[in-house]
Amino acid sequence: MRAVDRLNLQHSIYRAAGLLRAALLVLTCLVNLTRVQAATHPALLVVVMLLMLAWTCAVWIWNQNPGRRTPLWMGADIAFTLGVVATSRFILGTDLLGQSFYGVTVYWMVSAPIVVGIWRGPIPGALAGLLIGAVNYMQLPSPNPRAWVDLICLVVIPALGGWIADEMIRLQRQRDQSFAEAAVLTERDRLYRILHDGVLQVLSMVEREAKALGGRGAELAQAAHQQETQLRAMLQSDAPLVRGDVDLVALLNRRATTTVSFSSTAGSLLVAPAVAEEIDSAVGEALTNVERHAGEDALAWILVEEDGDELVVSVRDNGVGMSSADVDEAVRQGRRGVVESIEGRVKALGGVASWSSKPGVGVEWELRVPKEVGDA
Amino acid sequence: MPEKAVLRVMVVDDHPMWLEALVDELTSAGHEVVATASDGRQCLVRAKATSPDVVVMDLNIPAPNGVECTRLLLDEMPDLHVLVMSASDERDDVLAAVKAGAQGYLLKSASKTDLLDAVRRCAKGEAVFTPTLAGLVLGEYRRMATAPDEAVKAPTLTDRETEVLRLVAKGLSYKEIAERLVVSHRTVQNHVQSVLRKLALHNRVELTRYAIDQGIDAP
Repeated sequence: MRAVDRLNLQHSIYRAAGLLRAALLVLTCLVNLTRVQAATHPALLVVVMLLMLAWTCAVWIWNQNPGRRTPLWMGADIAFTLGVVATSRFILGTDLLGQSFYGVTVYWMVSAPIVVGIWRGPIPGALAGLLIGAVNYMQLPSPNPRAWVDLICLVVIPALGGWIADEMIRLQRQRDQSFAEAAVLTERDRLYRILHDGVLQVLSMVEREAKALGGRGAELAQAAHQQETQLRAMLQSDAPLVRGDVDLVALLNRRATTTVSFSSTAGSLLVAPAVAEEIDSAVGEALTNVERHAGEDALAWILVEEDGDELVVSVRDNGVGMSSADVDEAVRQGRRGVVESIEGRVKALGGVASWSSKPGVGVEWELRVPKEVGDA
Repeated sequence: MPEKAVLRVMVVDDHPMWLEALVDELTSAGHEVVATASDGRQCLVRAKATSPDVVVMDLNIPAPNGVECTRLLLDEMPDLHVLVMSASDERDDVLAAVKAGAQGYLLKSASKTDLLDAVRRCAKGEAVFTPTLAGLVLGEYRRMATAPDEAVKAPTLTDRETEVLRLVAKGLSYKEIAERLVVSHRTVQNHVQSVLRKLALHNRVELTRYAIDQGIDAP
């Protein structure tokens, strides 16, 4: 399929060159018809025009088949063009040639070097152009600037044609390659999804059923839960990472356990690594605090939100909570460390950390950090 | 809606192991499993034939998938309640199911108690919101609010609805939310349901508009 595309592109390029050759032939005929009577050998001029017409058709047909674009054929194309160009002075006569500086082919002679450029690249194209240009130049009666310009054009235009054709083929090849790579990735992604879904199904089942098996079973259920949570967290962190940013959602999702639930309003939130690290550490400290003080059966929830220009991370537990008297007591005993540490981390990011609590309903932290902090 | 003691439940899952486990759990809790299906086509045919109270739907089933099935079933049977269960919580799939009209979402690792509770609440017409789903839905509303000029005006949340949804996402039960906001349990439920209803309605409007744009007659 892709090889066919490439052939199609080449085919179009050769066809475009063929059309250009035909268009230039029309121009040539128009110019020559206006001066046919003034030519030294009018009949020969008509014969040459008919030969050019025949050759233009032959090239159009011949070049359609890639297998026929052989060095011999390309050489023949250049040789024919050279031959025609070399008859200019003989057919038109020095006087007529001196009036316009157009040889018998006018600009038709540029088509063969363009095809060589398309066929073998800009340099062979330019060399073929130079060869024809030189012969054309020698036909002209005097070193008029027009003659120079034609010579330069004969070198530059085939080179340009060759370069554009090369570029197009290269771009198409590149595009094909990225398509192929993307297809491989998509397929791999699909297979992974099937695999992961199967693994998750089994882990969930183990988690539910193993509990009924007693002691060992409970451990097994716990282990299955942890693996399941981690695998799910990993699967969700598929955000494309740019300039080393870190996905905060994936990072914090890793903190989910049997007793810690995670939820987020966004599939991914990219922030600078330093910001992610600070927020993650702050959340980690809040969770450690839950473990230590909230009570044995306490559960915790993490919620990550993208709210306008702010990232909001909430950590809540349903543990024993604390009263302001507890906090005062903690301060007196110099145990305010965790609170200060969390507040400090968030403040360093230009944000605000606040907490609220009541005895019996747990503690709730809310960390608000400006989103742009990472870009500053 | 009066609560029925015995619910007529349909279970859709392509893993025989899961299908069996779910059927066992529901039956031993006294519910009647009126049908099971292991792919989308069976699901559509059997649900129509048995009209259950609740369909427990796995999202990853052979075509049409769980999201499609939810949409197609609710198109024909608007009173049906669909509870989505999935092993891998693919955000987009879960959101699509809720937009298609699913009334709740549970991870497969949820405990038996959670499952039975969810089925029961689903049958009553309550929205079964887990913190994960609440976060997902909240994010979707915020995304719609900031999305540049969509053809159909996107629904928005009232301040109260946002507040309730955030609290669900933070793991509070409806009862805890009611206590914290000093409102009734019923009010909290209404807020949560309204959030889901608006989302599903918007989705329906969008689908119809898309169909008309594409020159397809709306069914």
